[in-house]
Parts: sequence; structure tokens; C-alpha cells
Amino acid sequence: MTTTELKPKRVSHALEGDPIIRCENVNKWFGEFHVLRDVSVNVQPQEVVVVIGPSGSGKSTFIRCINRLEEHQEGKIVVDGIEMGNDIRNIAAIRREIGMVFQQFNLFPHMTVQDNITLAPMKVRNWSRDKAEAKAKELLQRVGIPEQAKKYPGQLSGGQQQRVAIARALAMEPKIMLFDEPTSALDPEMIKEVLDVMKELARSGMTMLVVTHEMGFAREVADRILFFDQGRIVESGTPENFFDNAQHPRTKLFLSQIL
Amino acid sequence: MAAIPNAPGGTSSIPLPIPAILRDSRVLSVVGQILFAVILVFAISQLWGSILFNLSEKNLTPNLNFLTNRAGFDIGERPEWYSSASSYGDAFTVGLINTLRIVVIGLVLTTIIGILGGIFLLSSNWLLRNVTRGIVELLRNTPILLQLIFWYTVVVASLPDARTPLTLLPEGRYFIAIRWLIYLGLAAFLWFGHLRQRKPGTPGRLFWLMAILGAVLAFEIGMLLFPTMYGQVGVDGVPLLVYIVVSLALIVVATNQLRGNEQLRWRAIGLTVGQLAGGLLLIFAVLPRDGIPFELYPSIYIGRRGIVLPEVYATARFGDWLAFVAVGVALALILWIYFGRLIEQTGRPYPRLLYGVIAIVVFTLIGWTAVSLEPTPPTIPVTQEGTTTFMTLADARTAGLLTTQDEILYASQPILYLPPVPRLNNSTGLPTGNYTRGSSISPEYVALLFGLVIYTSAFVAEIVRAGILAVPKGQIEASRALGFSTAQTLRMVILPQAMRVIIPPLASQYLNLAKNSSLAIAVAYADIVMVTQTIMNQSGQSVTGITMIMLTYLTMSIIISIFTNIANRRFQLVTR
Repeated sequence: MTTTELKPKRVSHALEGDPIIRCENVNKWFGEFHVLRDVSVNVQPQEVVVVIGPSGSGKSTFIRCINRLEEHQEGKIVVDGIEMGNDIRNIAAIRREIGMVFQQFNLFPHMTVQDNITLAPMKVRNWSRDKAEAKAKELLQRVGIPEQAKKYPGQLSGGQQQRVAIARALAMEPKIMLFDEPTSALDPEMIKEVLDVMKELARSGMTMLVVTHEMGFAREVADRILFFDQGRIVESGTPENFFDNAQHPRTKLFLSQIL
Repeated sequence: MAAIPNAPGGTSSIPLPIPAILRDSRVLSVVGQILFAVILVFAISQLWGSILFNLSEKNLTPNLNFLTNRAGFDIGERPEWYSSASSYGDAFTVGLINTLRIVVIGLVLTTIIGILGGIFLLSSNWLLRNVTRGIVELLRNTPILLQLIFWYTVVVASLPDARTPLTLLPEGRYFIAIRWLIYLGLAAFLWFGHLRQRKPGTPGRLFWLMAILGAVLAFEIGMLLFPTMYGQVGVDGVPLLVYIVVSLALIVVATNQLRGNEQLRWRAIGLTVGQLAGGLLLIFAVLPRDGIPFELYPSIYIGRRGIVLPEVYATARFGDWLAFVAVGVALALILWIYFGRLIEQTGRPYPRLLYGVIAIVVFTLIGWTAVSLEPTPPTIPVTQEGTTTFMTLADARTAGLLTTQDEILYASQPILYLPPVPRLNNSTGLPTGNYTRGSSISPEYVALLFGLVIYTSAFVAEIVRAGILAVPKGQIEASRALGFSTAQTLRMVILPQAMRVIIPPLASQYLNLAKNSSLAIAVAYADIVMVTQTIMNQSGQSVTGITMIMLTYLTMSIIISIFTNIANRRFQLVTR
């Protein structure tokens, strides 16, 4: 079922009805420290999965394994029908289809907002400048800052920067978006503007994997919540089940401390 | 206890009798500076006065008049116009030129090697990284003076004796066949084949590739096996007919039998059509068989006294050839701009640099061929013992009657190189290690340049490494996550940001290289300091000499600073 053979056209390698992300018994160690223990998850297209858990539980490491910013040592990760391994062609193909938003925005400070957004489509997808700039304009409109195109990231507020970062990831027209604590570095009053963009994105049908501490967002948007503790998924379920009817004692403890 | 105005809570028991104006911090700072300036001016004028007095006692008042006096010494590393009869001013200029030869080339090489070294220091290749690390540590932790002497010893010791030098470029006469240039042109043309989108059912680029390959193979194999067939169409009518019929049959077979696999079919048709075309070109003598001769003599001598290179001259045909090259360059520019627009419009990554290079190379070679085809005059005038006679070029050359001017005038190629001629010992007939023609690079120059460049490069490598590490890790992760390759990440994300951190310390390394070039004296390279020392010893004008050297280095440093400051400003980030 797994097809690692690549074709030049941009087609899905997954079969109809298959999960777009399939993780089977993923294990990872940082030296002696066992970060991920037998993590198995399937994510369906258009599903919004929120990953929560205490710090150091491996949730960030887990989503960074999905686009190979971290290497897993055991198990299998299949994204869009392509298995993530050491084949650099497969890694490049997978990364093209996955957008990622970071806690620290990681915009390129030496380029204007517009160049930040158009660079990857032009250099990786070989789009024309006209097409890339039209896309950038459309996306800046979508995230609500069309007037900032010619500014540099250093001239924007944190919330605006994070919205540019989302637009930059979306410009590649990814099939999956990964969010690694997108609001954790923001001032409280800027969190809402970023979450609003993410909610809109979820409604539009994007497959999303979100690591966050925003419980309100998780309850409102998530189709499924994964709770990580000590590298394991200890609880998984719909928001209603998770927040109101948690089974595992560790989940109950976590929820009692934050709610 | 008397209250002190403006000093609430003051506990001083004696009110200081200082007027308010002298307690003003602004006044104090101005007064302090004036005092310092006065002391400085006084000290310098005293020193200068005493120098002037002492020197004028010896009749050596500093002035610039001595610069026009005859220098009377030779310089090891000198341009042709300098001799011991030249003036002190000329000698100083030679020293300046020698210093600039080291500094300018040294800066360029240091930049390239240093940046590569910095990247190697961060390479994921264990061996490369650690070998570079070892070399850098060794270079950084030993004195530069020692290194220069070491390199000089190594350079000199590794070179063969000057009387039995190593010679490069073997003697001989070579031909470059004109048809190979035509093949090259076709291959270049083929590169442009993928510019237009192929419609289904039409031959693609591979068809043309196979067709050219077939033609080239047929022609070359034919030339090799049946050289007599060249241009023999009238004699062997029947074999020619057989050949054409067989080839046509092959084409028909390829067209009909390979239906279903379109790619293979077009390739087979291309190959068969191409080989027929090649065969016909051979039989009808369409492609020229001739070659352009290139004569090579031993032309680079490497010995302990240095590397002796041939003299290179532009001949009478140089201008015509240059016109061809100019057309090639113009075409390359047009292609660069055109494809630049096309890349923007379509997003397809056309290799426009490659196109430009091909255009220039093809026009250069075609131009060379074209200007070389015009024959040289059958006889040329030569002057022998006052009378002018006409001789053929070859005879005149054999008789040794050709001057350099004659060679330049009658050469059949646009660029003429005249190999160095070893001067032989009159009595033994063996090489003396001297040359009557050719320009040489001295071992001193090589040792100094090499030593300075790799010493400074070690520091630059560390600076580049630190600059790259200063780019936040998140930038690299963001770049990777967007799908950029490692090379793209380095070029578009890491280096532009690292430059901001790299340039200020890099500028100071540039200045170090320029100033360290004065260590030339350790390997006896005639740089500005060494030459000026000789001038000062002979003329006694030490104050003027030192001042001239200082002003020279100061000017050099200021120029380097101006350029690095401009670069620095370009890489600053906009934050508000």
C-alpha cells in the first residue's frame, strides 16, 4: 500500500480513504532519554488534531518528526502515501506538502513580508513571480494584513508576524499544516488575532496538527485531542469526551491544574 | 553649619570657593579637552622641532627633492621600466606596486578560502570538519613570521634546481578539427531545444540528440574506416546507392516496427536519419576535414628562481577576434535578461548562466577559427645587414630573423604566446637558469602570498563559522520546513543573515592582511617597506620615508574600510 515511488505531477500518493498521516509505533530517543514511546496515530484528510500535554512530554518532538525536523529512530511515518525515511527525495516531497508554523515565527528578517511569502513557491514549486505575488496578496488579505506586504518582519508586531508566518506556509499550498505552539510567544492581546486565522483555516477544510496550550481553541476547533505524557499518547478523543469525561488519571490531574 | 546652595543634604563642613561656572559639567568637559589639545600640540611641536634641529645639523632636513635622485640599486621583483638608473621615486612606486600585488590578490583569495573554510568547519562530514579544524588551529596558534619563513623554505626546497627546471606544456603541433566546433555549436543549439514545450506526436529533444549523435558517429567512424570515401561521390555510385537504400530501409523499419513505444521510436528514427545525414555529409565532403594547427613549445619553467611564464601578445588579428567575442558576450547578456524575464514569468528554472557561457564559448571558438583561416602572406620582408629581402615565414623563423614585432604582425592566430627562451652558458652550452624572454613569478612572491592568505583565511574561517552559528536555528528549520534544499538554505537564508555578523570582524582581518604584508622583508620580497628602507639608508631621508610608508598604509586601510562599511550597511536589518 505504501508507495515510495515519486511521480513528477503533484498527485496524492495515498489511496482513497487512507489517512493522510499514518504513524506506527514511532520511537525516538535523545541520547538516553526516551522522548517518543510507541506513538501510533492516524490523521484523516481535513481533520483538525490538537496535541496537548505537559512540557517535556514529547508533543513538539512528535509533530517535528512528521516533517523530519527531527528524525525518528523506530517505527514508520507515512505522509500522503510517502514513507519518511532517509531518502532525501522523499523528504523533500513530503516537506513540500506540509506547512509549518513555529512558536518563534522564524520569518526571514532580511526579506520583506512579500518576499518571505513568495520565495518558497518560486524556488521550490517554480511558480512565476506574478503567480507567487498574486498568491501572497490573496493570503495577506486572508490573514488580515494586506497593507504590510512591503514591510520587514522587524517592523511588525508579534501577532502580525505570526500571521505572516501562517501566510508563508500556506503559500506553498500544503495539504497539511503543523502548528508548534503558535501563540506561546505572543502578548495575550495578540493571541486572539492568530487563533482567529487558525479557526478560519480549520473551517476551510485544512488538515491541521496543532500543539497548543489554548484549551478554548482546542474545545472549539478540534475534531480530536491527543494527550501526551512522557512520550506516550495516554488519552485520545473528541473535545467533549476529553474535557468532560477524561479516563486516565494523568489527564484528570492535568485538566484539574489548568482549567 | 552654613547651608550650601543647590546641595541639599550636603554634609561638607567647608564651603568650597569654586564659582558655579566651574562646577558646570559641560564647561568642565570643554575645558578638559582644550587642555589636552594644548598639551598634545606642545609635545608634538617640541618633538618635531628637535628632530628638525638634529637633522638640519646633518644637512638632512626632511623634504621630497631626493625622490628625483638616481636610486642606483636594483630590485629583485621589478617591472621592465625600472633599472638601477631610475629615481628613488620610481623605486618607491615599484615597492608600492609589489605591495598592491600581494594585498589585492591576497584579499580576493582570502575571502574565497576563508568562506569555504568556515563552511567546512560546520560540515556534517566528520573528516572534512575535523581536518579543517586541525589546520585552522595550527595556523591560528603559530606566529605569522614563522609561517612565512616556513613556507618560503618549503616553496624553495620543493622546486627543482633552476638549471634543470620542470617544464610544462609538451612540445608539439596539435590540430583542432573545424568540424568539432560545428558539433559543439549543434550541441549548444540542442540545449535550447527544451525551450519550447513539446507537443505530443512531435519529435522531442531526444530525437535531435540521437540524430546529431547518429550523424557524428557516422561521419567520424566513416573518416576513421574509409578515409578515401571523403568527397568520392562520382567514383563509387553503386555503393552510395546501396548505402542510401539500406539507410532508408532502416528508417522505415524504425518507423513501423516500434509503434507503441513513442519515445524509443523517435530515438530510433533520430539515430537512423542522423547516420544517413552523417554519411552523406562525409561522401559529399560537406563538413570540412581540416584542422587549425596549434603549436606548443615548453612554455612554463618551474625552478628554484621562480615560475617563468611565456610572454602573451595580441596580434594583428586580435581585434577581429575580439569582435566575435563581443558578439558572444552581447548575446550572453541578451540571453541573461531574456531568460531572467522568462524565469519570472513561467517560474521554470532555466540555467541562464550556462546559456551565457555556451554563447560566449561558441562565439570565441568560431571567431578564433574564422580569423585563423585567412592565410598568412607567402613571403615577408626581412632586413638583413641593411638590405631588405623577401623570405617565407618559415624560412625567416628558421634563420632567426623574425623580431617579436614580426611575429605579432604575421601570426595566424589572434593571441600569440612566445615561450621563454632559456639562456645557455656560452662555454658549456647548459642552461644557466636565466631566460631571455618571459615573465616570472618569484618564489618569494608565492611564499608571501600563500603564507598571508592561508594565515588570514584561518581567522576568516573562524569568523564565518561564528557568523553562521549566530543565525538562529529556527531560521534553518523554517527554511527546511518550506522545502528548500541545503544549498538553497545556505545561499538564501543563512549567508545573508550571517554576513551581518561576519563583515565587521572580516574588515579587521582584511586590514591585518594589508598590514602584515610588510612582513615581506622576512622572505626578502621587495615590498614598499623593504624598498623604502633601502631608500632611507642611501638617502638618509628616514623621517620622510617613514611618513610615506605610513601614509601609504593609512590610505590602503581607509580604502578597505570604506568598502567594508558600504557592505556592512547593505546587510543591516530593517527593524523600524
